Amino acid sequence: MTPGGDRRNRWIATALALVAGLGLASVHWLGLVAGGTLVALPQRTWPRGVAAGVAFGVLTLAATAASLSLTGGLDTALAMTRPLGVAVGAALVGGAVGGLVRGVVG
Amino acid sequence: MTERSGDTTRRALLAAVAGGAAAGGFLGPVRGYLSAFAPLSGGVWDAADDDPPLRIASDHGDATLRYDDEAVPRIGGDDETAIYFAAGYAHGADRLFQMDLQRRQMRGRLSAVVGEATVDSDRFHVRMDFGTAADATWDLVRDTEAGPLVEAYCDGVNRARADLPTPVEFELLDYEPGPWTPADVMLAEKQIAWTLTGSFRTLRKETLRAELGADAAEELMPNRLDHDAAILDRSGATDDWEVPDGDAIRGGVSDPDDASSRASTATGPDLGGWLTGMEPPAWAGSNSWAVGAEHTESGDPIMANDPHLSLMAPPVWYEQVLRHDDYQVRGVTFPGVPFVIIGENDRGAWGFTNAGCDVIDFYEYETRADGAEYRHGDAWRSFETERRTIEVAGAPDRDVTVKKSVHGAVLSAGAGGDEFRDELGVAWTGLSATNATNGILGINRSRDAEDVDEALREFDEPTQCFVYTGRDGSVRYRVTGRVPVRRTDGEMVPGTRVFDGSARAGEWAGYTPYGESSWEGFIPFEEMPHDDDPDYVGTANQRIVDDADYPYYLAEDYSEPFRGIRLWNRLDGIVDRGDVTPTDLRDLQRDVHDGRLEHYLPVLEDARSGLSDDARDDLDTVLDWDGEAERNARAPLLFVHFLDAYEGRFVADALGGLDGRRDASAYAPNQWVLATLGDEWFEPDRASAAADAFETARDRIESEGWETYGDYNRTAIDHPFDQSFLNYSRYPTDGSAATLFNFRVEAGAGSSWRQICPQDGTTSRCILPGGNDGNVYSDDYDNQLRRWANGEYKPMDRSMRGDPAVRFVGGDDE
Repeated sequence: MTPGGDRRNRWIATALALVAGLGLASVHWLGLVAGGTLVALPQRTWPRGVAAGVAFGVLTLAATAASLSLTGGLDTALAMTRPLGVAVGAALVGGAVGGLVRGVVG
Repeated sequence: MTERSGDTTRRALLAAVAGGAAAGGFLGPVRGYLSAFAPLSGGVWDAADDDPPLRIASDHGDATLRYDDEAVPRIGGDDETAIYFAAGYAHGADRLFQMDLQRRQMRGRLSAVVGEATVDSDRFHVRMDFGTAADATWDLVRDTEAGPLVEAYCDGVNRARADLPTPVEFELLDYEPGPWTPADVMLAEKQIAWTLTGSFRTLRKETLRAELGADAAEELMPNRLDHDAAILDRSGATDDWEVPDGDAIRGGVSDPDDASSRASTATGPDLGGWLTGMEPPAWAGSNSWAVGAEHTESGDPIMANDPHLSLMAPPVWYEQVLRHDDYQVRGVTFPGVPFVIIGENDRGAWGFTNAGCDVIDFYEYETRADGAEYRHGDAWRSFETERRTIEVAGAPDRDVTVKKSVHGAVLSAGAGGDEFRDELGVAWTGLSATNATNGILGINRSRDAEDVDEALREFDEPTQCFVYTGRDGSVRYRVTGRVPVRRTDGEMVPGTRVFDGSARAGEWAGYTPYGESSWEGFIPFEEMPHDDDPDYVGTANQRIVDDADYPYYLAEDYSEPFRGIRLWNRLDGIVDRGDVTPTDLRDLQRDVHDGRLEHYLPVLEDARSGLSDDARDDLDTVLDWDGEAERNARAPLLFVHFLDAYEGRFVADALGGLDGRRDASAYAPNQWVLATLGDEWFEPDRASAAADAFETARDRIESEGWETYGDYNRTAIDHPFDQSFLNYSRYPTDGSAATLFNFRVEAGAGSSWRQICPQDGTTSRCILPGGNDGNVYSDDYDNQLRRWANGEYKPMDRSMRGDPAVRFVGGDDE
């Protein structure tokens, strides 16, 4: 496979993993880890996998903010200091932990 | 190390980290936090979207639920059960956590979710066994007209509980609410009844008698205060009331033991401290007044009511509009209770103030068999006992013995010593089955004052001053509820002492705790204080009637009369002027004159000689003050802090003689009495104490950096969790603990609802201290608070407006 074809395949796989990961994270917090794993697997190296997992976590935060914004609850949510801290921590740590799996499989 | 083995090691390490972290989250204590707060899936974020389904199947018939722009549900339907199903849905959608918290408190199950901090509260509520009293009440109500409506309401609550995201608070405490039951509805009635009529004053006064002497107790806690602002027999207003002849007294009235000479026993410090901590606050009160048709500009009566209860987020009241073909009603109820308690329907408006009647008594017993049996007259009876467990989150569970006698609950704590009373029987009307639910339903449905009169016959608790005005021009004033006639050896006795339960002293005929009472030995409905056609009437928790004018013992004491005096003076003036309008009554509800100023002028004058020059300038500011507790003034800031400091000084100087294990501040006199106490109560004298208190007040104000009253007198209305995102914003406001525009910043209490209701067909006005929606994400969580703080109102119409939220459809389609 050409380097360009490989890159395209990785992007497609990452995009599919992202959609699946967001779906999993919407039903259970373990979905943060699973989603982090899914987006990490197509990455070339395990450090990139961890970075993809963290990025996935950030994306879940952005998706939550967007959802709250639609219902008019974003301002209130931003005032919830402790819950917000847990959410940010869970997103980043969950995504990173999921991303570590990239290093386990090869 | 080879490359392959290094790779294997790395993989193993990464697998261990990833697996360990995931397992730690899944199995460890953070699991609950992750379930609640994780992005996307966290329940706290889900709660932001609590819109109900547009169409809901109901077994109770068709109804429509709309929310107006103040989040007030407006519910219409052809069938009452359909309406109350929808009302239950709205309560469940908007206030479910508040309902569950109150239920837990009354059932003694707070500690199961809150932890160690509420064990004392749970122990009290379990031992009083309010839950069984609520069960007995439901047994009485189930087969009455209200029964099916209560059941439909509970179905609605539980439907909302199943349909909608769990409120934020449940996520924070990590538990799921159980089903809402009819007994829980009855329990809510018990809670408000206890808040308004539960009192351990008798015990405190007995303790003062035992430890400081009878004369001191009488001076510090007089049963009657010297004023002439009683509700009944007010010249030109309530002076044509029908004085009852006392038919039910039979055999005369006496106090078998001369109050000044009989011996008293102090309540043990442990028991006294525990009970004082569980006692409802003494400030629970209210204002309500009405002006009859002949004095108003419109020729129709007008009434106003503002109950003074805890101010909290969300508010203690829930506002609703219910529209049935036969009646339309709007007003407030307690979340968890279906019917409008204060409000108006299409034929009249009504309100309540606390009456202060004595419906609680205490008994001591001669016991044997290690306290397992007690003598009751000529018989020895076993105490009923039952072991129960109080679940405590994060700490060992506690076992509690629920103990009962013929009088009701038996409470005990510690063992203070032989000279103390460590165990007491408690009789309280609310421990019996009561039928207030049908009373309130009857008022909601009423077509005229006669309907209301009939409904009030069923209003067993709490004892309240009820004020009603009708579209037909009628005005009513009546004390509601059951008031016992205590008898010792056949003679009526006041409930101002702990009775000898073994001698059957002070018993209530017709009362059955935790069962159905006949009330045969209680003051008859016809003989309860009432005026069926007052020209105008003013109630603010002051004395209902002078003892000389009423044959029965009604109350141990009444509230301080500062508001009552002011109310009558203003009402007299308004009525004398004539052509009273709703605006006049609104202005009266916003009256901020603090009558304590005139009462304390001699004390303030005493302070002058002991003050520095700067302090004298401040003293002059107070002495020149007009008594208006307005946010921009400095004088009320000085005055209220002087009162606090003066009370503190009194406690330190005068109550040192109490057993050191007691909280002496719990025995402080009220502010009316405190102003009357002379040099003998202070060290070295009253003038020095007043001067010191004034300096203390100035020091505190300076250290806090306050300039005006509004810097201090700010809304401080918090959620039970006291999390900043759940608490309400702070706004400066007017008024004080003693003004009609009532706000008690330190106690977190005040006017919990204000309504002005003319009966001329024009729209009534009202306001809540907060918002109707208990969901913190809602714009209506606190949208009325600023208006409330500024004394503003909103329309109180009963039209079916607002966006349709839910159509409840009878049948199976969904």
